[in-house]
Amino acid sequence: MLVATAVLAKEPVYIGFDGAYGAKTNTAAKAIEMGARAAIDEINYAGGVLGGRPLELVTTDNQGISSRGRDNYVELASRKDMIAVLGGKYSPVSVEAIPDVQRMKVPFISVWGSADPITDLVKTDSYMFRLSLKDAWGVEALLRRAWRAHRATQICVLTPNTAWGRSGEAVLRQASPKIGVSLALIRWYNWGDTEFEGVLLDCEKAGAKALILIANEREGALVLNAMAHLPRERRMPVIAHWGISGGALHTLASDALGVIDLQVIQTFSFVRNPRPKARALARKLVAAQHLSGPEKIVSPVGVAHAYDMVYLLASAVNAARSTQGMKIRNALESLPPYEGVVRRYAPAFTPARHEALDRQQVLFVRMKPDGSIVPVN
Amino acid sequence: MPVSLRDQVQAFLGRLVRSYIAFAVGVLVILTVGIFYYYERNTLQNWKGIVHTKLQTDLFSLTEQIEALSNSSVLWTGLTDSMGREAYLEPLMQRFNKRRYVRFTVLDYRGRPFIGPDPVQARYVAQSVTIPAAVGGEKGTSEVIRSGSEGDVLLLMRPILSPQSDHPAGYLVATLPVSLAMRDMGIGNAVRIEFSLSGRFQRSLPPWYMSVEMADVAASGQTRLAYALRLSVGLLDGLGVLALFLWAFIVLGIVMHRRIHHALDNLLQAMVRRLDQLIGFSRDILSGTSKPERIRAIEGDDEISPIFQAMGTILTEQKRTADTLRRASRVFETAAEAIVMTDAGGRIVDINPAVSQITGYAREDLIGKSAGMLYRGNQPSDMHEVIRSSLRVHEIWKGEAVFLSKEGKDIPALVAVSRLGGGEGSEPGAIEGYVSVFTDISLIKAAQEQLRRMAYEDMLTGLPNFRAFYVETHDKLRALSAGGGTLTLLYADIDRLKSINDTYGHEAGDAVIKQVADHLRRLLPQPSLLCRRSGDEFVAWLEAEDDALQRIASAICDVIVDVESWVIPVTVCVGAARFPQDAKTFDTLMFCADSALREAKRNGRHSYTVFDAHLGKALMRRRAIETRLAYAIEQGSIVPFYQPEVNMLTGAIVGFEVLARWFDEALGWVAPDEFVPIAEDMRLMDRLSLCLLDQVIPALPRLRARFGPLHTGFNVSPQVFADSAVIDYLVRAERFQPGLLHGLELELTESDMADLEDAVLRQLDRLIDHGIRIAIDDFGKAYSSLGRLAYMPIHRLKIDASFTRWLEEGHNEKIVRLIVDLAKSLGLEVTVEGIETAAQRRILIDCGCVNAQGWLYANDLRLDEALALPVILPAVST
Repeated sequence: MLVATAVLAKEPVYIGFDGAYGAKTNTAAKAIEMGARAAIDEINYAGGVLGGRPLELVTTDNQGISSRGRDNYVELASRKDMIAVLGGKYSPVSVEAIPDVQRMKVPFISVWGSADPITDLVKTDSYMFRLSLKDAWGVEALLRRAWRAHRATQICVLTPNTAWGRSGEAVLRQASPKIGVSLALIRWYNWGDTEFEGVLLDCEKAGAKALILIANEREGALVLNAMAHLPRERRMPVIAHWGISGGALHTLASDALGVIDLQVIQTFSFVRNPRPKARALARKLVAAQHLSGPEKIVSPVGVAHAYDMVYLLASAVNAARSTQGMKIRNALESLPPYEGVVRRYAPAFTPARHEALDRQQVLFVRMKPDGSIVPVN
Repeated sequence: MPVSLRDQVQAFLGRLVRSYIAFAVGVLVILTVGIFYYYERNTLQNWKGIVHTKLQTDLFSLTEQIEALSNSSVLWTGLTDSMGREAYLEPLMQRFNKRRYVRFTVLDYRGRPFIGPDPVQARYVAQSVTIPAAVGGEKGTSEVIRSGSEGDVLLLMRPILSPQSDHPAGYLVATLPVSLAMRDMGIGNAVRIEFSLSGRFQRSLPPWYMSVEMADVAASGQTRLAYALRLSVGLLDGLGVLALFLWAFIVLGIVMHRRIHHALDNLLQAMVRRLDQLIGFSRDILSGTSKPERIRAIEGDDEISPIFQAMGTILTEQKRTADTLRRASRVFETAAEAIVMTDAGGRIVDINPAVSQITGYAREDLIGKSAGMLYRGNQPSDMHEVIRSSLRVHEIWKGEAVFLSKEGKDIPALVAVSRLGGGEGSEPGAIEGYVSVFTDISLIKAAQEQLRRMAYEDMLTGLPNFRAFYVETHDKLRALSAGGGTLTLLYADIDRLKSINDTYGHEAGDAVIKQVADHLRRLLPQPSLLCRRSGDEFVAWLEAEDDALQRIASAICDVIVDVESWVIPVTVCVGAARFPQDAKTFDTLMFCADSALREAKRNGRHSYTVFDAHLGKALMRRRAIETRLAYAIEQGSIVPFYQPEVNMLTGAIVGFEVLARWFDEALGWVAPDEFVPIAEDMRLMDRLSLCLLDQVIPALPRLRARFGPLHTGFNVSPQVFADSAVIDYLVRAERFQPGLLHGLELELTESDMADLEDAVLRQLDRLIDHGIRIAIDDFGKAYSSLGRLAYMPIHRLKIDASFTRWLEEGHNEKIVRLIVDLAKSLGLEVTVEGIETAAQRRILIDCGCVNAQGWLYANDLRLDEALALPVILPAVST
């Protein structure tokens, strides 16, 4: 307690997080915050950073709106002693902030967004980092999964008309010939679209044997519900991007989840995870939230990514001995190897590589009507 | 102030025209305004229906679209999207923005432009007041923006709400420039289009605005727009057109005014010109300067022409009468003749001013009096009867009469009396009165007397003049020739009257003449007749024996004249000739007397000579010389002789004097003393001089060759200088051969020299410049002015022989010595003339004289004889 008191007395070092809290069915923002806070609590309890200064999380709500996200980044980055801003589920919001990130030189680290441009757009002197799935290998993994799990050669794709969707589509078009599958139909949709029955019929007509669904929980639920309404024999197996795992899908499509063959891509799972830190964190969260088990932890990738990232940042700020953005960036690029919750980072980033994860982290889970997420065997 | 008719008419018609034009322009202006008003009103009404329909349609479609677009999932997606969203958003917006004027744009959650506002729309958004207020909320807004160039613009804003969020992801804005869109239907700019959502318009219209309004509601979905539209036209907005019309009317008015004014002016001028012509025509007739061609020129076909003719006739007649009267009156008033008008009874009715001037009577003295008082009383008594009968028979009488002036002086007059008959309509033979015209001829009479006297009288002395003398003497001689008897003619001449005139003045000279005349009159016995011939000459005849004649003549010679305070001694020379012994005609008698007078003068002043046989002979010789002289000069019969001048000390010949010698076969030798004066009288001196110089000049070089340098004297008369012939001759000769005339000396007598005028002196200077020298001849002989010598251009004095002649008797030696000293002091050379004896030579040498000429050395010689002389001349011993 003595230590904690001492830490609190000092000027905090800030970590920002801009999440789509206001997007109604989104759970990713809270999951990320939870992971971040867990790490911060531990670090502060352990004496903070920079010789005793506490870490403090500042959150903003972008509601999934690009310009809000951009404004939020500018607001957070303008704060004194803000060492980095964490980005959440909506990739376009992160992409939208890139010009301001490069301008303000406070590192932006996406802990959910998977769109390639987040880290690919800026080639040199980049302040954009990611500790998350990347479409370049994640979406390819969706294709492989479709083939391996369902032997599907004709695949239907539903993808949103956004930067995320376009990023995924690019990967699909590039990877499908390599894997030996063909894209029978790629169908774009907009947020808010409600009619997906027709799309499913079109996919069927196109001869697709599996549906790759790139969507968030809202549209994902609509598609799944539509699919569930089809006769059993006409229901296609669905391989889904993880957007739907960032929201309360089971409340939107609980019935459908029970009848549809749905596999969702993930980078991490608390369930049956052998890593000590993961198990420790799971125990802590289950206890804190009075859960029935680690499978009930909502949006687990968000929690885990954020938790690891905070630790990495604490390490970086200590290495940089400064809260100044450029020094933090440089420190991030030269961190020592670190055993995190998600993996062993050896190291997390280099100047040439701002991706902390790779395809080795890919795993598929099933989402149950009760909301639990369980890895596929 | 009097204003000319023309100006009055012009002013009146000018006002009339101006009023008319002003009225016309005013009516046109009112009509224009009225038409304008009516037209605009109709236009507005017509537009109202069309505009209303169009606006309804536009607004309905706008609300429909904004509803659709704000609920579009594409827009929601776009607002959550990043890179690449333009690919689908822009086509979407373009599709909605396809309609003209309607524009949609998307703002972000904070109202910032998100995609694609064009600059105009961005401006509308920036102008909006409702957007900033509504941003953040979930309600839409609508407002009207007033834009300068586009007029009223309807702006609608709707929040873009996505299902995934409670907050608007952004805002959709639609704009419709209502005024612009309505105007696009073809409503002219003059019509103002205002749009309002509240039903109230920002500005209330000024009274000169005409307007129509319409109100309605456009609704679609959640959007409900209550709006109003107003079309208005400011009558003043059409002011430009109106002003243009007004200007055109005013300019038209001014032009018309100018043209009408000009035409009016021309018309008036034409009328006034005719009137002026009429006035001028009348004036011309009255002044008598009218010309027929002028009258023809101004005649025309208008109404003035008959007036011209009538006026012409009247005025011509009137003028003629007036002229006659004026002339008569003027003759009466200004006539030098006295005009007296009497009634039948002889009483004076009227007189002209000349009567008063001539007689001295005032007009009042005479009017009503008998005309008889003007006549001299002692006129022949039958004269009245003669006049009366003449008047009876001839109605006029002319003749001379004598009148009496008021002072009683006689006035000789030429009189013309005429009877005045009755005027028109009076009885024939009735006598109205008489007109007498008197011409004062007293001046004529006096002039006649004066002329008579002038013809026969010398005005100065009162003596008969020579004409009278001639006539009378002629008669006398004729009587004496017939009856026998003698008569002596005296010719008297006042000596030196010229110098008296010069000394005392001409008045004194005249007084001298008068007193001499009296003197002569006193001395001449009766019967005799004295007249003044001219100037200082008197002629008289008398009947006297020789003794008496001698006495009278000698008495005549002495006169003492007393003029004012001067006592002037005057001498008179008299010549006398007798009839019939000396001459038998008046002319010859005059000539003889004149010759005697000349002889007397030659004998000295203050003397008389009676003509005799000796005088007659000399007169004959003189006549002969006169007749032959010119011929002799022409023939070169007059030749130069040379008398040597000798240095008395050495005997050397130092010069010659040229002396003219004339031998005539009939006359024998004629001395220069004889022919030179005659030549002078006959003005032959220059020809004589040229004749001699022709012979002398060639001799000069020969003489010089023989005797060495010497001077040669050549006598000249002042007459020679009257014209420049001789001087030009000499100058030419010297120019022809410089040095030719070397040693030539022109000799002038002292008195001649003294009389020379400045012009002649200048000519002498000219000769001196050419090497010719001047000598004074016969110095001391005449009245001498030694003082003048110093100022004269002379080189030599030649002492007159008269001084030499008496030297031996002891006279003159001192004078000669004085002259020599004087000459030496003036730098003059001296030559003594007329040396004849050795004694004289001695004395002269004593006196300082060196050069001399005379018989002692040599007489005058022919050229060849002179050249034969020895260089040293011995004195001839006597």
